[in-house]
Amino acid sequence: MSSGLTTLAEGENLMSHVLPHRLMQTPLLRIGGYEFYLTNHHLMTIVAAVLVLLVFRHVASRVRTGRGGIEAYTTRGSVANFFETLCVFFREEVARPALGPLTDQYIPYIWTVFFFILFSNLLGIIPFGPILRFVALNNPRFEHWGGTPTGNISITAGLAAVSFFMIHFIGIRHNGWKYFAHFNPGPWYMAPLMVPLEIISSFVKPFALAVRLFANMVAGHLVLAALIGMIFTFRSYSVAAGSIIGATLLSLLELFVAFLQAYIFTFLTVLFIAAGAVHEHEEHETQGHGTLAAEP
Amino acid sequence: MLSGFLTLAQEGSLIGNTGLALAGIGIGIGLVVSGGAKGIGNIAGKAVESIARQPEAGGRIGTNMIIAAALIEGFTFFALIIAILLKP
Repeated sequence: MSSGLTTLAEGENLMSHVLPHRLMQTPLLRIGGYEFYLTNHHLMTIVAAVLVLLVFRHVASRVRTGRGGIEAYTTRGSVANFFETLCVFFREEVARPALGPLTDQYIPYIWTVFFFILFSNLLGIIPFGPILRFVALNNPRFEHWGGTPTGNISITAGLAAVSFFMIHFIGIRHNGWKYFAHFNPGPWYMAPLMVPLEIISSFVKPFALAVRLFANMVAGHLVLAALIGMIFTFRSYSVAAGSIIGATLLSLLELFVAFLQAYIFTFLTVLFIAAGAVHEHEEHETQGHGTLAAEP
Repeated sequence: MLSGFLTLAQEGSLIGNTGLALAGIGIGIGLVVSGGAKGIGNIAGKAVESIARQPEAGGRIGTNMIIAAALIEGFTFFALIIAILLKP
């Protein structure tokens, strides 16, 4: 067992914990000259997506049932209540203040983004690879069968691309072709300066979303790998004690960062959608609130 | 433990262009992290001050502080990623 542990840390360099690894040596498909292999990040993406589907199938079966009366609206069961609380928090505190009347139309997309990123981030904290290797009697083939899906720039770029598409799609759908007047938020003579800037910023914002999520996940795992690797460099018990305490605290921080980054991604997507799609309705809403407040 | 230090020291014999490049990257990372830490320290200081001034708004102020800190950390991580990409 100890020889397995030392080869774990010594034989591979630091970056191998966060890079994607091929699961099989034969490519899945071959297009032209390119070969696409199945990597551990692909596997964990599928696991995260299936987990989201299963959990929310269960939640949906408990939240609004077909029985009549008040029974139809009470949610029973701890898991269903927990996820319903998260969903309602997102709909009422994050989406409705920004999106207003468009909330109910697009909340399924917002929920999907948040829960997929959350489950992906959390699945990366559990060391599935080494557990599988331990269960499979120290077979080193299973070493990398785990990993954080969102720790791969391609997957976060895909999520950001979907957000980019949704931002412009919802803007065009609710504003018509006048949506492109958003690219010039000033007088007409400022257009040659503002339009390229706004176009660049509309590409940079989803790019920043992708890189922020990717960098947070990768950095957490890299620092954890470096801390634990220090034990194998120094080979002393005092270093091991400090290193394990540091690694425990860092894992708690990583847990917090997993939730926070999922929330930030979703919150910024909602903000960008609202900036593009919701604007002129605000005066009507404040007028309504004013008359309601005036009544005793 | 001394032998551990010695093994670390023996690997660090990088002189010349590669060593200078790595030193430059290290200095760059240090500058970026210090800028980010100063920014987040500012937010945290003002947030704690305003919570002390008005404890009832503590929850909302804390939430906004965390969001702003995460956004600034995003920029700091940009630099980290570029530093990893530039490593020769």
